[in-house]
Amino acid sequence: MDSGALYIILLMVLPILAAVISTFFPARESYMITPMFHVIGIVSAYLVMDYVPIETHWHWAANIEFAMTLDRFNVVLVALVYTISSLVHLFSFHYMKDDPDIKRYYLKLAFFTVSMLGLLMADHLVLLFVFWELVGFSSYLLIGFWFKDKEKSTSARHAFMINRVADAALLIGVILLVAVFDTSKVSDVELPEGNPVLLTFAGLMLAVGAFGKSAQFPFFGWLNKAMAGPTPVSALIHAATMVTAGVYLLARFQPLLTPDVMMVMAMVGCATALIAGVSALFQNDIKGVLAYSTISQLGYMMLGIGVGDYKASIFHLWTHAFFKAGLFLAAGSVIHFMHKANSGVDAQDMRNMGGLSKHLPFTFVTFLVCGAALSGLPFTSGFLSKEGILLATVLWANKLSPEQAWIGYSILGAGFFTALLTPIYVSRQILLVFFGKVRTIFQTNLSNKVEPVICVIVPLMVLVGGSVWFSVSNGIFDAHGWRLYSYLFPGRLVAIPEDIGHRVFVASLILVFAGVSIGYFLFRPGSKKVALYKDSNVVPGSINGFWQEGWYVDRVYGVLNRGFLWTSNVTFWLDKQVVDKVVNGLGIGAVIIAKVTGVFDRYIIDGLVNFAASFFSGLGNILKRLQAPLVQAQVAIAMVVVIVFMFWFLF
Amino acid sequence: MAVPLSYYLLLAAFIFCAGILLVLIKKSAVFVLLGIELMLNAANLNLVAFSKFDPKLSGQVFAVFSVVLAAGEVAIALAILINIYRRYDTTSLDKLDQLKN
Amino acid sequence: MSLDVLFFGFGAMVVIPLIYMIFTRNIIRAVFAFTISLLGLAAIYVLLNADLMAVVQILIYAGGIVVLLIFGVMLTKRTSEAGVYTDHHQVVIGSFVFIGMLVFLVTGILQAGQVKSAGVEVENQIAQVGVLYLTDHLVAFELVAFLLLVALVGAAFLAKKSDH
Repeated sequence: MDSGALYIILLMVLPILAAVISTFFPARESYMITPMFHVIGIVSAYLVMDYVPIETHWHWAANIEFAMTLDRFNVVLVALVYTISSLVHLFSFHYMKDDPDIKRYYLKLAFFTVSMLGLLMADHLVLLFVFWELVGFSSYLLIGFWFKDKEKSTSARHAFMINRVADAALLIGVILLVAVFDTSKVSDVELPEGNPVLLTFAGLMLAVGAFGKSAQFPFFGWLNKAMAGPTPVSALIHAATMVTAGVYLLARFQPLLTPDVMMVMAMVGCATALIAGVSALFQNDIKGVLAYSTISQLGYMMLGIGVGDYKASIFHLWTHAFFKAGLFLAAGSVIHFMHKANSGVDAQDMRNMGGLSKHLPFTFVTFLVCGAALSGLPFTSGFLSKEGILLATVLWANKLSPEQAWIGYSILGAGFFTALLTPIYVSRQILLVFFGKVRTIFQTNLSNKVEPVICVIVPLMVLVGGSVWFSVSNGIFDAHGWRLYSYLFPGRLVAIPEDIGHRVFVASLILVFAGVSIGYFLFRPGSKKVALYKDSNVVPGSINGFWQEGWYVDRVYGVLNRGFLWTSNVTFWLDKQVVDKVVNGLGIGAVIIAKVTGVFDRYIIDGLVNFAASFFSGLGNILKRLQAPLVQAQVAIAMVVVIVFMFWFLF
Repeated sequence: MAVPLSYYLLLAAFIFCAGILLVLIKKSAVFVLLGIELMLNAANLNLVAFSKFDPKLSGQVFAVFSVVLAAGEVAIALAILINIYRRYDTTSLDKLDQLKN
Repeated sequence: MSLDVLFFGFGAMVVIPLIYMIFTRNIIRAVFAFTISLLGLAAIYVLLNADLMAVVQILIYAGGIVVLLIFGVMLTKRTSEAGVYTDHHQVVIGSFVFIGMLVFLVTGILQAGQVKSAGVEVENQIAQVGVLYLTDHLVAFELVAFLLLVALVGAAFLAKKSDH
């Protein structure tokens, strides 16, 4: 075994090792162990950056060779996963402190982290699919962590099942690529030769699989359900790692995506961004807003790949991981606080919050900075990466043929409109949660320990640090200034025409500030809208409900389900009413004929019939044993059959 | 080489068939376990007999594994048997015809 | 020639208890007959130069498994005389399978003819086997050890008196 393989194994094993070791210590003392191991992981991931690509491979079956690879592309993401995962582990200790099952929680979290690392490092499509499923399964375990709550376990199942549907498509794509096009290597994809229609289909299937995992239309319903899990889990899974697996996959397989597939991806991406952006505006659950904003940002990433600039998407993936994890952890801090302060109300409902900036100053700062990054305010990382995607979209739309131009420009319009929506819902959330007066009564006296230094402030501040411009880029306004660009993509970047760059820059600035102003105007403390939020029991009107439940996509699933039920009921009815009657009619006819002929038969063929009857009853007595719940009888019959066959074949 | 290989094989064949017969005709679960052990023994005898002609001794190596696994199997099977007896008050296989309750 | 005699002697020691086992209804006696048969098998292993296998056979089978089986009988039967007896059923189909299988195997073996020896009589087999366990078959060896541990724990857990 060479050192490269050792490195890969080390990186794969560290999280689970940490979790297993920490189970041997009391929960109160073990919280530093896992982050320490993660730091080793981060450091080794950064150290190995100069030595990539390294790989290890082994035979799985005849002429199938599995491999794990670390190359320039995924070592960055491995480091990202380690970084976010360590912060989440640290934060979880604060959040899950009072949970009796905290050790199970840490083990599941480690299991997830390992699956995700495997997904990133897998260098064979089948292996990638295996880890893809493991990621889905471990996230199911984490979403359903509080499985004693029926609703939460149902949500976990729901999320898992929707993922399965998309995974089936992915499996088709994987089989096609491996068996027909013979491209199984992930790290070095080239356009294979073969039937272009089939290739398009394979690419489409890959894309559908990615849509499922990355919560794109029409699969995005599960991400909101997935919020049933503990909040730090949402930070890890539903912001930084698992949902970006689809983006990672498509970015890897970008060379073999045909223009049609790219077009579909661009359309789905921007549609998802828009739909989820609108829905986020109407959520009352603090995590619901974040869930829909995640879906929306993932839509941007898909759009970026669809328009051909997967580099911008990866950049957005990187920045999004930091600021969205920051937002989720901050939301976790808020929920924890609300839970402590007043156990009687829904701790996640923003209508119960307000004025929390006094109590949670660090959380407030995090929310402000990360929210700014999410909205794309200048001087944040989000501004740079989002502008990169919008820029790529503009360039792409300009290059389309005249017949397709209208599609391109409507996609562009939707993209820019979503860029306007984002600051609105972010400012709505911040205003509702942190400004104004508290809308519920705090029952318990709050001590100062709501934001412990190591467990809460450190992770939050690290994520805040990752969300401002100087941590990711050299140029303040340079959409292609990501420090890792030259490392990740050694080739030259596409030159951007000066005037278009300026125009997009100005347009995003205007949209962001317009969004923030609209948001502030609508939801400033004391405004009419906010006054409506006094009562958390208000049932949303039909239109509001439509937005709030994610455009009723879940209901469409329900209708489909009911459709299947209905069809089966109809066929059942047909079976019962029509087929049975026909059969009965035939039976009656047969009886009549039999009665007529029976008179003759009784005397003539009686003996034969009796013989047949006794023969079949004897046979039945023997065959009955097959059905009987007697083990030995069944073994005996199996043995008899074996002997009969052996003699048959041999003599 | 006084005794030819086929004698050992014939002996093993008889042991194996006796095992099958025990499994089939006895009502007691303990007897059935005995029968299974006999079949395993027959396989072991074959393995060892063949390994006499094999300088790498793979048969013997494998036979020891098989003995060890048989020991584990008996332990588990008897544990299950005791549980069954506690619940149904019988070890007769023809009375155990339900997977549940 | 002397080996021949030994083989037939020990072969009878294996076969006769088996026939007794088939016909008896007493479980305890059957287990003891089983023990005798196992000891005969151990002797046959010695004839085959497989000393380690013979020792293992005596230790694990005749020593361990038989004790376990007797415990099983004791724990699941009332100690009264009537309890240790069992009945036969499906005798016809059983004998058919027995005879069919025996005929098949015996004809197969007799037809196969003689096997030529590789000509290598391995001396000092125990040492050789030991080396093989710690070199070529190390992983399997460790796995079996672990499996035994799991089986032990599992058996203890299963046999534990559960509350419900």
